[in-house]
Amino acid sequence: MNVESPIREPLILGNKSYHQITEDICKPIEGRANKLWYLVFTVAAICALWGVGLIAYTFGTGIGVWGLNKTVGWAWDITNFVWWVGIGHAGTLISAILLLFRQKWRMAINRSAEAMTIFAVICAAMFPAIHVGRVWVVYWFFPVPNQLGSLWVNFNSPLLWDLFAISTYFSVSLGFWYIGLIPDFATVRDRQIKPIMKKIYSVLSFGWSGNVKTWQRFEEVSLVLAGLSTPLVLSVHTIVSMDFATSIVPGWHTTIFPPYFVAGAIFSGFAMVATLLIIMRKVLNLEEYITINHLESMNKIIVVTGSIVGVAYITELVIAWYSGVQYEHYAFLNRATGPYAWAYWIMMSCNVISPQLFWSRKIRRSLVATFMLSIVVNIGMWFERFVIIVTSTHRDFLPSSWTMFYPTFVDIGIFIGTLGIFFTLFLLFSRAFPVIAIAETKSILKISGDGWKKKTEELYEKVGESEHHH
Amino acid sequence: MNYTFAGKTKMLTIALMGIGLASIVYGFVMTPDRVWANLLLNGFFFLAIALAATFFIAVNYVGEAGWHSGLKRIPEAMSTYLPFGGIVILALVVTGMLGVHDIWHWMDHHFQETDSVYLNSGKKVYLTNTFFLVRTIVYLAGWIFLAIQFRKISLKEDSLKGMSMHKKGIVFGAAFLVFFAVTSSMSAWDWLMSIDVHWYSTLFGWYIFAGLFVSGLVMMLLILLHLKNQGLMQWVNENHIHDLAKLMFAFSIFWTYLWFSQYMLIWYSNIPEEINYFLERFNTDYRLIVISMLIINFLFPLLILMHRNAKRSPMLLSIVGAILLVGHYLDLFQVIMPGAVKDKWNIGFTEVGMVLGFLGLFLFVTLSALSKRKLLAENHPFLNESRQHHI
Repeated sequence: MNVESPIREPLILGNKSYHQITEDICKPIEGRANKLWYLVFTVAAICALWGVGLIAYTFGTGIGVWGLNKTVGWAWDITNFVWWVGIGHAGTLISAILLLFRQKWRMAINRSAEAMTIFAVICAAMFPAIHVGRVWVVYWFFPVPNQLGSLWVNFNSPLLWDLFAISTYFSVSLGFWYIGLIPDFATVRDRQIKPIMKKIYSVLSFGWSGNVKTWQRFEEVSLVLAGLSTPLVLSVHTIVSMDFATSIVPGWHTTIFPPYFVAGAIFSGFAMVATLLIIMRKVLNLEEYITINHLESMNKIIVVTGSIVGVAYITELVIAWYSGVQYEHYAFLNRATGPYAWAYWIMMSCNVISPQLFWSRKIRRSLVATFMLSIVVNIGMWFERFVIIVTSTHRDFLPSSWTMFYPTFVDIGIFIGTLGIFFTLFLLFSRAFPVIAIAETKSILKISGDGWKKKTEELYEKVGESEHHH
Repeated sequence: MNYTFAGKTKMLTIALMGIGLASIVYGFVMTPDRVWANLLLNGFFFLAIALAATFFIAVNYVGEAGWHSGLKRIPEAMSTYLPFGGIVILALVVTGMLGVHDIWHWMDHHFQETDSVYLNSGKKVYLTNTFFLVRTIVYLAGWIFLAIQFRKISLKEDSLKGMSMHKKGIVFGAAFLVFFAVTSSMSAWDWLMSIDVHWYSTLFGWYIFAGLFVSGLVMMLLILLHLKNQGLMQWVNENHIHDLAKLMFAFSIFWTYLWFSQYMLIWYSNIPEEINYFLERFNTDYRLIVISMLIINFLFPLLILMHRNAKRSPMLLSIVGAILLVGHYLDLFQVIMPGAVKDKWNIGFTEVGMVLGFLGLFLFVTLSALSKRKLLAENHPFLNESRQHHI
């Protein structure tokens, strides 16, 4: 689009020049970290180490240290897995689908959202790996020859599809993210004074020269990757949902699962992006790039996807009632009124009711409200997976097997550990990488920068006046 | 320049309506059951196209889109068909209640008193004749009311500069999206899913919505190409056409995704209550319809519309669009017919004549509405973005 209506809010504030953008975004990499950064990093790293320790304990002792039992054979591990994969979705949506929809506001947030995707998928991928207990045979997941000749993967199993989906997703996301980083690494390289750092960024930037031909190739590759990523946004969580929906377990077997899981994933992903960016823009002084306007757009996506999830919840309830299948009836009755009703109502209020506050423009544009609601949504989405998984398994078809699931300190500790790993990685990223896409942001400066918008408007007025004189 | 609806085009739509009328008379004499089922099929198909147009207006208001403002008079005109499509559905519900036809065979009192699934499920509350009629009236009244508001707002904007009308549009757009989020699924359960009264699928409403949106986009594009062919709407260029074609392409894939998700999960679990629905479609002569509509609605746009040039070629898009409409008609055909007429289906003069007749009616209403207003929404605040649209 060449023309932007003057009534659209500017996306870059502070009357920036190209040089100023480079300065502002490179500053955190070139300067020294403040005390707050070290403090948060220490806390995150301790959590990460605690988690790693408990994973080692699990390997050493066995899966028995988790709260699982014969009836509930899947609980925190898979809940955390789905939650983390879901969080990753926002990054892919922003980098691919918002690109196709020509949403210029994505330029300020895509880099950090994509980084978040990669770190979230790393956290997610740990759970399938550690839940096997015997991590040394984890390669049995893959269709590769092994010492037990007859042992082969089951291609009919959605768990195997999931393995392919997640690994494809991770590779493409990493590729997309890294290729976007190349010209920005070159910018950082050209500004470095210390020879070692210059060397490192020089390697990272693959010797980017910035001539026309490289830019042309860069844009072609970006478009191809965007095309590949778009179906991935849908496919990954679709297949995650099929881990449940292909079964005949009441509460799991329902056809709406694929699109509803995707909507839920985008919902939680955007909430996590909002949480991270509200802190990041403040700590790194990027308020003029990640504006209230950006947060408002994300909040709109949160209210839309939250409502889609709400419609899906209600659809499941109504159809369980409509169908007259007594098992489905009971599964939903048990969710809403059984021993885990507290979890169900946390899910309902956090995911469906609280995002409706974003219908108010005032709340959408309030930093404090956005920050708090983004955390509420993430809590709600964790409970959604917990509710789906545990309430459906703890009441077996055989009432004699009915039981409850109680997490142990190991379950909780490993989850806290993944949070620690996630934040450790994100904090390191914010110190070493340009957290906003420099080249892409520059490309919209003359269309959406506040200084340029003003100039254009003045020009329009002048033209209008001179026409009036004639 | 305004559009004038006269001459050959007008004659053609009237001739189509004539064929439709003849086929209905013919059908009532030969196979009345098929006429009733086809009234539902065509009634819903064209209502869905008008609904998709209304959805398009609403979503673009709420999304603050600019590119579409040059062509928004087309969906606005399409939305005027809503009352006509609505009357057809309403008449079918009333005649069904009176026992004239049994498309919704649960409407029968005997069924309601004896069917064990019906009596042991929420259906005995949800699928009752009066409640069904009330719901139908609520859906239609809500959609028509909101569609009229969009038309009003847009007309007022022509004589009123500033943002006031646009802001009103955003409010009504949000209202429509909320109402439609609930009613699009519910109306699909009511009018279509309840034909196979023992069957249920939570995804059904969204799957019908996806097909509805593709059909609406195609119709919008075809009308646009017709206008451009007459030398009108010069401010709409190949970039706008490209965008519409991209949406058509994307939502065709999305439709396939939902069809497949529903099918695959039911096939995989193989539960008798659910799988019966697909056995009736795959293990009978309906197989031909199901497979052809899958090829038309998925493989065909996937392979042909993938390339950029294809999405910018009016000639190719007219052909692809027309075939896609047939594909989505066939999709609804295999949704409705197995439950409504069982194995007594055919594609003969009744079917072809009626779809042509409804097409004639739809075009007559839409093009008349189009000719009554300026083709350009001159004071749309984002019009300049649309005029200089370039991708």
